[in-house]
Order: sequence, then C-alpha cells, then structure tokens
Amino acid sequence: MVFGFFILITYWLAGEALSQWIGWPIPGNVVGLVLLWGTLTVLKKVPKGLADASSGLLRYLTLLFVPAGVGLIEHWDRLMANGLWMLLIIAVSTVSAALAMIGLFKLFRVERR
Amino acid sequence: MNVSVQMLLALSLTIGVYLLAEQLYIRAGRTSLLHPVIVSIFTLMGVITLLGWEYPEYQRDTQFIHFLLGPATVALAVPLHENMALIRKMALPLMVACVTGALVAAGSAVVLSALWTGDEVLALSMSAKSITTPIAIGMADSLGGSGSLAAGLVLLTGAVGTLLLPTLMRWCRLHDDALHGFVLGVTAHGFGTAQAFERSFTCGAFAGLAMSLTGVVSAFLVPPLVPFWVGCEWVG
Repeated sequence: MVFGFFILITYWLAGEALSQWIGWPIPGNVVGLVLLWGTLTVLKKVPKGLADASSGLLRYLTLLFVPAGVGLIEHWDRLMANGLWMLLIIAVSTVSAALAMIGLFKLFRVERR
Repeated sequence: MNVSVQMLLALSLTIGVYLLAEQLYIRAGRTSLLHPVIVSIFTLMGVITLLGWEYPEYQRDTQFIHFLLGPATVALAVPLHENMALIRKMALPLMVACVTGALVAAGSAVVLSALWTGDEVLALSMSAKSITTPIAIGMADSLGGSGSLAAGLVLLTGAVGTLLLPTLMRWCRLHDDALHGFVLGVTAHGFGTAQAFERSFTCGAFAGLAMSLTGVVSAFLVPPLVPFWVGCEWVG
C-alpha cells in the first residue's frame, strides 16, 4: 500500500516536472497517468501494492471532488445570470458529440451483429 | 500544516455530509439527480454560509482531501491498462471516435459559450465539461478558467447526458452494448459509466475505458486549440 502510494507520487512528480519543462498547459498528474500507463503496458502486469493503493483511492474518487465543487459558491452570480444558457450549451454540445460518434460507428459499420 | 479546530471541523463536515449523501443516493435508487457529489456540494455550500465561513478558508482547511486528487488521477492508469485488452479488434475505430467525440464536445461548448454569453472564464472552463472531474479541474485551472466552475459544469454534463443519451441512442438504433457504453463514457464521464454498468458489465467496462481515454486525449489535444475556439467570437 505504501509502496503503491510511493509509485503514484513519484509518477505525479515526474509528470509535473515533464509538463513544466515542455511548457504545455497539461496538468502534471495527467502526464504522470500516461507515464504510468506506458510502464504498465511494458510490464504487462500491475504490482500488488499499486493495485491496492489505486483501488483504495478510486473507490472514494467522488469524495475528492467535493472541496473543489463547493467553490461553485464563488460563481453564484454567474450561475444566476447564465444558468439557462449553460444548460442549453451543455445539452447541444453533448448531443452533437454523441451524434458525431454514432455517425462514425454507422459509417465504418463497427456495430457487432 | 497547522492543525486547528476549524480545519478538523471542515474535514469532518465534508466527509460526514458525503457519507450521508451516499446513503441518500442508494436509498433513492441511484438517480443521477441525487448524485452524492451534487447533494454534498449544495449541502456544504449552505453549511459554510450558515457558519459564516468564506470559501478560501474552507478551501485551505480541506486541502488534504483536494491533494489526494493528484495521486488518484495518476491511479486511473491502472483501470485504463486493465480495460485496454477489451478493445483489441476495435481499437482503431474506437480511438477515432474517442478523439472526434472529445473534440466536438469541447469545441462546440467553448464556441457556443463565447458566442452566446461572451463570458471568457465560462468558455475556458466549458472546455473541460465532458471529461472526468480530476482531470477537468486541473485542465480548467491551467487554461486560465476556473477549476471549481469546471467541476460544476462536469456534474451538470453528467446529469444532462444520462438523461438525454439513452433516448438519443434508441432513436439512432445503436444497440451494441460496447458502443453504447463507449458513447456514454466519452460524453458523460463517470455518470455515464455508472449508468452503463446498470445495463451490462460489457457496457460499463467500455464506458470506463472511454471515460479515461477521453480525459487523457482531451488534456493533450484541447489546451492548444482552446485559444483558437475562444477567439471565434472576437475574430468573427
């Protein structure tokens, strides 16, 4: 478990360093995710300690969003002013993205019979 | 880190409210409108207002929870690695669909926000609306948007997606469980994945895979394109 946590923090560190070095606005933890994914693909298996640490963290992933989510309180005026627009934009954009994907699946006949 | 009573109170309140919200969600039959994150956020907004706390204080006191998002995001590599085996034969079309879906979702949201509201912070935060929250918060912040606003938009997208998409896919006659799950994961992240698991295991596994892939693909491709999308309004 501690070993797994060590791996996660080290990869986060490597990702953060790499992303600052390249100067691209990608969060360092996503770069760390990709580096770890690459390592696991080469290793072809997940070390026990890492599997434990990651399932422990991911089990309560949604709790971890709560402090940032409460920050929505600072955008209250924005929600009141543009709330309906936001809802409409989200609906239009979600439906467009889904239709684009469904279109590709039909075009390339990906669907299994 | 200086431990104070207020900090411990903020942490216990946050975790306690979340656990109660989770129980409510389970008893109410897991409807996405009562998702524990949504209920917790609005309850805690009320609580800190009643206690007279400012958000920056609450944010500082709950830093410990927020910090764990870092390693948790890196940990997404584990399920991603395990699920990649699923798509062997369909890898190419699914990757093309994922990139297309991610770009249409982010691009249309940014352009429409810039055109219809003229609110730049909103437009920048909208670029992250379809991706999984841990990645969305970091991406919106590093683009000059707001992580908190992005977190709210992500939740809204999840709720809207799970309400609209099943009907849309029925109309379009997309019956394959794997593809159904993939579309849910790309457009409605964790909410879509939870809904997909109710349909079948295959559907859920493809949704989970699509969710992580979309987060990674978007974090790499969207930031360089955003200035161009936001610029549509002022150029056009």
